[in-house]
Amino acid sequence: MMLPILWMVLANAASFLGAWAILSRIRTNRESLDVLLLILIRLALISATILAAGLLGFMTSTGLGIVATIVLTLLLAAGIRPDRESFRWPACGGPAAVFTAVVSLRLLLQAWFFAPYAGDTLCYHLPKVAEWTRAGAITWETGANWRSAFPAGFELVELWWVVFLHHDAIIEMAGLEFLALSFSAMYVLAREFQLGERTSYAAALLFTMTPGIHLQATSCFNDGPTAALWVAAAALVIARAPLSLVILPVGMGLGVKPTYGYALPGLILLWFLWRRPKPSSLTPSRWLVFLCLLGLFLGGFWYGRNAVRFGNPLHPMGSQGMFNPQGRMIQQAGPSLRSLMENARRLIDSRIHDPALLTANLDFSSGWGIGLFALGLPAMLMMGADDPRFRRLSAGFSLSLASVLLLVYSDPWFARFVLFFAAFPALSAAALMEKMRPVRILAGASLVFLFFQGTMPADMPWEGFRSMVCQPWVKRQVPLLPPVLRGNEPVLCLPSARMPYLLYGPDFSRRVLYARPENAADLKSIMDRENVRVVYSQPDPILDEGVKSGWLARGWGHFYERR
Amino acid sequence: MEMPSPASTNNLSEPLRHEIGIPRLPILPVGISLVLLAWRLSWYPRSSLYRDWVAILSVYWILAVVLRGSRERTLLTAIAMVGLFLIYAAGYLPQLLDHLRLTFL
Repeated sequence: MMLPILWMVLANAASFLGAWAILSRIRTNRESLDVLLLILIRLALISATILAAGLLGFMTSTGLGIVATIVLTLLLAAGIRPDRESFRWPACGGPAAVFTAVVSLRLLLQAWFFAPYAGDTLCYHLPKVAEWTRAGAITWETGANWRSAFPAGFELVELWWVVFLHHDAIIEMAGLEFLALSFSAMYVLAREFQLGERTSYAAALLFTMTPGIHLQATSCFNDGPTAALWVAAAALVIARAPLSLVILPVGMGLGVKPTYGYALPGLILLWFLWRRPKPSSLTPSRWLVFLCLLGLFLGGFWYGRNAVRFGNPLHPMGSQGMFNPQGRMIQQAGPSLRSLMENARRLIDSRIHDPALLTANLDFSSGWGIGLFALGLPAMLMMGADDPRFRRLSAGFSLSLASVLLLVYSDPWFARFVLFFAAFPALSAAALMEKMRPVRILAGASLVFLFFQGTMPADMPWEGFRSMVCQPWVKRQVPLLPPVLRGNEPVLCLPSARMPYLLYGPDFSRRVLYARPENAADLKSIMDRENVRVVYSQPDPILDEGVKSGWLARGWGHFYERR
Repeated sequence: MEMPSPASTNNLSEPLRHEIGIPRLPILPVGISLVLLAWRLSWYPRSSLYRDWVAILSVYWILAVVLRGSRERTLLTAIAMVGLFLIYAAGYLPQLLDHLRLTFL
């Protein structure tokens, strides 16, 4: 295990130094903006590295480790050294520093002790991570679920934290990287509004402690990262960065989740409103072109893949919408005023209160939390009334909010797609803190409340958490595997399987096959051909037929055994 | 001192308005607040209106505009925020304490 850890350390050092080398070519000499760019470029580099390694077939601990060592050596030989004097921790004050340290420690413990647990991630996000880790390459196989063809930009960063150890012990680090991006982007946004370091720091804390963003960071969901990339793009727009640089987070965002595109109108409006007169402190360079192309590649790759594989870049979204195998519409195609009205009504009357205990999936909740509800909403009105810049900002944020609500079906989880909006009330609340002292006290109380709100998601009961903590880290996972499985014998999964990721095991040692049999005879022949004894699926007519015919037996839970 | 007629106040400069004590009442925020308030009054249960955040913010917005530049605005903001804090906490805190096994609190 020591060698993979060494490779991982070297690869992270190389990615950091590589990002630093690029940053040194495009530095703005605005400290906070440079930190944001450093985080963003690093995320882009590791995404591109995993994608390239995956496509070329050397996405293994050793393969990546050797490449990282070569890159690191070249960078050091070229005299690239991090300039520590350029960066310093903001003067945030003692209480905020202690709070940050406690939250950071808790997040690291959560990343260590949490195994992937959220339903959707186990169903169709992570099986491709498992498949590609096992293969050491990015293959066509993404799992049998109809949603597994979604863009996988976030999964690239998850792979970065999985491939070296060949284990998912610290897969949540990917989410934490994007949480750091959220923090940095929000800080830049506040600084660009001429808020002091302390209040900018408070804005960043209020935003990153937003329960929706916070809970998603340790649950392998990609809505938090999508929001982080949206706010990063907004911060670059407000900082009047060149368009080529703004395209980097936009491209990455589109590669993480297509709903990022739904929120683009507000970004475009912000760019239009902020395009004047201050010249950018960035000089045009080929590195900006490189970063722009990198963003377009990271975003466009998945749509290109789907165009080649399915003949539709937006697959599984069709011209009529997105439908599950039972024919029920899951997501609409195009705008719908009815959706806008329903989403807005539900957000205003119910979701904004977070009436249900918060899950990482944000079931029936907005996930905006107490800070934005109690402080952010009045502050938005107050700052909007007093400061024209806030009115312009509110126009951009509100347009994106309305645009997303217009374009998404009103299901129990739609508020996940508008997590980016939380940045605006957070900024307003922080701005008001500078004017009104009592707001600071309330902000402190809210942060304490938010700390507990983000501690334990509702879909992780204490019993489940305790069982995870009690397991040795090598075997840590949500309990699912039944006694019917022998050792690491392979399992066949049908498309309706609910949590196929758990079958792989945390070290991806079990082979999982995916199949879409036409009938029972087809299933039987697949099982015989692949020498598979166990099938994992929700109840299915094909399986019922197999049971009736006597060659298949219903086992434990959703498992079926070949007789 | 003779007070100017409402129609003529629209043409007064901001310093003069301040001098003669006429608050500038922006039509847009007050208009939006009144519409929102009317909307909530039209269907929201009257007995629960005190904990409706839309109604609270509508009233807050009108008063914040009227009290622009005064010290009372800070107090008003603090009251609105504490009110919203309590409304949110009253709904969420019992569930949270239960989930975190802190029911002894």
